[in-house]
Amino acid sequence: MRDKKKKSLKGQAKTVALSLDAEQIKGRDPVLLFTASQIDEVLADAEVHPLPFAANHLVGLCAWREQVLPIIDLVAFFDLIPSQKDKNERYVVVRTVDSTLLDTNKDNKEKQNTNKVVLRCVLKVSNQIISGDIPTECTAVFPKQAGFAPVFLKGLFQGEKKLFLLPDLATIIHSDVQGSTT
Amino acid sequence: MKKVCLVKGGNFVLGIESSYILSRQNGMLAPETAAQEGNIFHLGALLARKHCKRPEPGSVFLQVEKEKNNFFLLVDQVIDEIELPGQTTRLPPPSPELAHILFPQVAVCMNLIVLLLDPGQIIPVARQLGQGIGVLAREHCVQVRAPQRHKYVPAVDTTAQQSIKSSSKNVLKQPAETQPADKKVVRPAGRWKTIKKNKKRPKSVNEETFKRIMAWTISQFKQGKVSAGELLADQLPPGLVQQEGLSDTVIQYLIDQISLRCQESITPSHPEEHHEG
Repeated sequence: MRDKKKKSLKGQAKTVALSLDAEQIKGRDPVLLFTASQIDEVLADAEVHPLPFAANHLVGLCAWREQVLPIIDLVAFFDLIPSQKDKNERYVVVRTVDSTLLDTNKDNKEKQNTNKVVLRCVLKVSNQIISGDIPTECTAVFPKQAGFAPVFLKGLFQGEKKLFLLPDLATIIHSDVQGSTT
Repeated sequence: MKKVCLVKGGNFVLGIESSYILSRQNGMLAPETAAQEGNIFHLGALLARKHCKRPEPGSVFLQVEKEKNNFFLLVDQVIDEIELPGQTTRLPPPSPELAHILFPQVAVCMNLIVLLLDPGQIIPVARQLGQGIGVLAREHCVQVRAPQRHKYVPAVDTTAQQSIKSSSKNVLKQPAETQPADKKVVRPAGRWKTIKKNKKRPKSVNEETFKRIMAWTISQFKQGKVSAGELLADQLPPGLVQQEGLSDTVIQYLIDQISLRCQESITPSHPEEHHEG
């Protein structure tokens, strides 16, 4: 019985939960959920370089290891209500595979493998960053019910006190529109 | 390596390749510059999509030229001139289209991001934004010419003296009695007749008095005393004017007229002066 439990835990990926500085949604705190391998670095301090003509959710640019990365505020992107609590911001470098680019090469399998584009961005989050296992006691929620445009989420789950968002970063990065349904 | 001038406009810091910058000027633009209506831009306002009224104190005008585009760019501050490594990249997504147009290249230097402005895109982007966003009116940027107040020693040539002599009869016969001092300095020819008509005639000045006052005024003018407040009748040396019954007002008028002729003789005529009056 114990061995069986160990085996099931081995199969689970480690996750990192990043709390958003936003008011509760349906009585739960919104939390971003990523696999641990997606997190490149948590920046204690980021030099934010404002970018002219940028949308609200594009906070600015940031230099990271000689790369220029966009800093994205998902609270603004999803049009959530910013939290009134004291803000302790953190900036997290997150990476994803550019699935939007891969979709265009569906017919050519070889090209798919060689053309994998890794996209990085910096997310502005709160200082509550928790590393752990995938939460088990969750139920799936349809994004529209919580006010999210489905295209920008890979999944939405609600636990007892938290609402877990699995954002589709590549789609968000390439989007010209905001991620709320309103 | 590229030499880049780091400038600040509003909340934004960006780089302009130094080779594109023809000149820079603190404060207002000189009237001689090629600044025209529609080719003066306020960087901070343009990038923030706002209208701007006047240059803020301490801001700097850069004359920028790239290919056919020659314009003036007002920046809040010139921060530094740096050398950038040759390698640059493009702005990452989701940068907006206008930013891609204005800043086709971006570089990282000592962990700082430098957005490289394409000067050739300022005018097209301002046009695209429309409604005069980011455009400064020439009248608010070009300093008003006031050569009469310059503190330099003018070289009064004989032409000036001839001019004074030839008009001395008019000066003697038609002085104005009361006139604000500050309005006597700059006087377009057209207004002159109007003033003469409206003023009553004071007592005439004899030729000897006129010559003495003229000599004294020219000598003062050569010392750089050119403004209305610096050439006053009560500064005349005692005993210089021996003609009796002359009021200070008449003498002052004479001094002003001589001073005016001196200024006219050394100041080339500028057609653009008239709109400033």
